[in-house]
Amino acid sequence: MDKLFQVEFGGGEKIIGKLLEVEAPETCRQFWESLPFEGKVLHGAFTGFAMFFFVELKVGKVENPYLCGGKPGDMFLNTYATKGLLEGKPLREEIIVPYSTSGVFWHWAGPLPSNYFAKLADTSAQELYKIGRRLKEKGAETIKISRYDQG
Amino acid sequence: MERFIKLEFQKGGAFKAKMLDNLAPKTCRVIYESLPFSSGALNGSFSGYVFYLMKGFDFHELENPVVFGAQPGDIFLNTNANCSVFEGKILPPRIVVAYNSSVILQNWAGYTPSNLFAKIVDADMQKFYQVGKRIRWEGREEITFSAL
Repeated sequence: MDKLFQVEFGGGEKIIGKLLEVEAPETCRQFWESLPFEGKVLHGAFTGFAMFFFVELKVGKVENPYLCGGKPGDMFLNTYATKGLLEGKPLREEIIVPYSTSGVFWHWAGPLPSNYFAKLADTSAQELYKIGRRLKEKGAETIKISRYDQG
Repeated sequence: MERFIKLEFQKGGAFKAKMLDNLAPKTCRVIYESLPFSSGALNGSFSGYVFYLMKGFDFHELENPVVFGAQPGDIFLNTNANCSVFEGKILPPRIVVAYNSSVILQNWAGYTPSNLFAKIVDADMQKFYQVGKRIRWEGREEITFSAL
């Protein structure tokens, strides 16, 4: 059975997502084990129409990597395969979620091959776009992710 | 004679910038004649550590264009040379300000060569970086440009 999870944004929107365990098994395993999760989600500065949030995963390997071609609602784990420091500290792994097309995963240290490991419901594309634009206008907000009970 | 402008941020911070009249005379004239003005600013989505103003300017010529190598405090006019369209409308020329290094001036349609026309001077650039970071984390902030 597919493993489903629910993403809740600061504006109250709730979107169901599905893990892609065949394509990215280790990323999915660690993500699933980390739930429930709560953090801050922010608009990207380099990757285009995408939002991101830091996570405490230690996948440390590239599996099912993408640099571009992400669609709205696709979820990627940037494992910082290319390393990189910000303000003198190593960067934490982060999850990137495009909310429109035209995203390329990169930053100042180069391309960021990121593990495509989950997908939000197709029906959420319009809602996700509104959330993305809100993040850009109003800044960071809370994000909560929990396992979705299918029973 | 050198000309200077002031950038004042709604949530705190004021910085002096020198106009680069020798390098971008037409752009400087258009901007200087528009002073004073205020506009909301947002962090860029594609270019990295930059914020840009929502206000548009009616100047479309490329002079002193830069894509790579922007330095913190560099101020550009992105003339929308690649004719980018967003939500059905052609984007107007807009001011873009780099607040850290590692900037590539670009968007979803490719590179956006932009006229370097002014530069923050006599400033604590760490403070300037913190202002940029604040716009990134807290969202839209009003900036007032005026003559000094």
